[in-house]
Amino acid sequence: MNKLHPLSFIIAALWFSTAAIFVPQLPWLTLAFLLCAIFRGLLTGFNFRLWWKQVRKMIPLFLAILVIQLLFTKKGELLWGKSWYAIYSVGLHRGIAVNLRLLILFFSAQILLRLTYEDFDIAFNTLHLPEEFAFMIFYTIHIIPSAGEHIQHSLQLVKFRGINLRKLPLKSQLTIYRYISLSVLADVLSRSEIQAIALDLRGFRSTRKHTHLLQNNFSLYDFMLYLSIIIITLVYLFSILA
Amino acid sequence: MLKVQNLYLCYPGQSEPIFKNLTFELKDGELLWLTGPNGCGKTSLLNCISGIIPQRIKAEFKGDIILNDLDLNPIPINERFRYLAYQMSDPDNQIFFPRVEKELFFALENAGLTIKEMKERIIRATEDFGLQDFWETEPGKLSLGQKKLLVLAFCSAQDTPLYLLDEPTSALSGESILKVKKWLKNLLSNGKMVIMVEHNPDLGSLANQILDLSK
Repeated sequence: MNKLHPLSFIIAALWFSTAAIFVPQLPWLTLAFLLCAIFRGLLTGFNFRLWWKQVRKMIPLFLAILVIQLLFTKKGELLWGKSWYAIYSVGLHRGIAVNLRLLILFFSAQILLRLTYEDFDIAFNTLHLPEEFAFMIFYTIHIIPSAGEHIQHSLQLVKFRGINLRKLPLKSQLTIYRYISLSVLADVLSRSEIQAIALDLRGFRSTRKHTHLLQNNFSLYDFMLYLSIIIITLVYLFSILA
Repeated sequence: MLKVQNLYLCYPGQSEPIFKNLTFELKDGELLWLTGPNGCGKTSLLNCISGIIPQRIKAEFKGDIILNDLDLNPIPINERFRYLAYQMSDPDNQIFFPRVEKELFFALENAGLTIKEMKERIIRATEDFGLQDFWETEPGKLSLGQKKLLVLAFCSAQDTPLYLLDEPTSALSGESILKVKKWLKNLLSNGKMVIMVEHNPDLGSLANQILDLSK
């Protein structure tokens, strides 16, 4: 799976996330989720313990979405309960669908996060798009984890000063988090400005001809992936039009 | 030859200009050492020559900067890499990519060199700075000194007539300073021009001219 062309990863992630957004039918959404999970598994290994560790933090969100849908959607067939705590089929369907969508988007993001700058560069170069696209997308995708690392580092420094955040009142904790977040944001913004200058000083966005050291050819795996995407999309379109 | 003529620079909100009628010339194979206390304008002068001032940092700027009969003022900052290489004092500002190899090749790809030419230049530059074993390394994992050497290596690979170096040996060990010194000697013997801000007196013997900006 790692032999795929970087463009194929981007297309697969886009295809999965498009399905997550536009496909309303629960069986198709479930299929999209399973395919996305399998694709991710082939890419990173089926380390379910790690997957659980990553998804575990989102469980309160999933439960909240499910409960809200169950309590406030009173359409369809009555499945259980009565009066305000009655559960209807449409509410259950919507709750599951929204959670599946979130999971697909999360897994698609995980697929994209595996790509390095060079992968984006190769992918966009294949489409004859300027390098700015690759750089902007790479920078955007990685700015959140990078800011997260900055925040963790700052929290560590707070700890080294003998401050135990957990023992502080909530108001003080929030104040410290606010100070740290603002300083990290300011640092990211000021650094990105000077980095943009430094990039230009090395010919970024230079108008003349560029060459590319790294190039990647499409393999049979890529064609198999594209063929699968086309077949599944066509089957889906026929099924909803029929 | 580099000619800087009647340079005037005043930052917004400042009553006194940093430079007023600053004029100097630098011949091929010469090194100009910039000295002076903090805030006297050493980095500002490098920024003026590189085009950062006034193209990116707005300031009142006048004067001519002529490199080998070419007026640099109208040349946009992202085309000046063909004429000059700039090593900033903080290497973290110049390092972006996930692998050392990409850092090294970036400017050369933008210059449109062939893969063969790029590889030749990079092999030479990494050997000069002892970075040949770090091609696959993530630059973020390098020490500050190694990052500095990496920036010098990709500047070296640009093979431009003019090099602007802002404290190239700060944070470097004695052995690395010797590598930089050897590289500078080699640059000068190949007719390159160097303008350098440096506090390490060991490199003083290489200077052909000293410009004290405090005066």
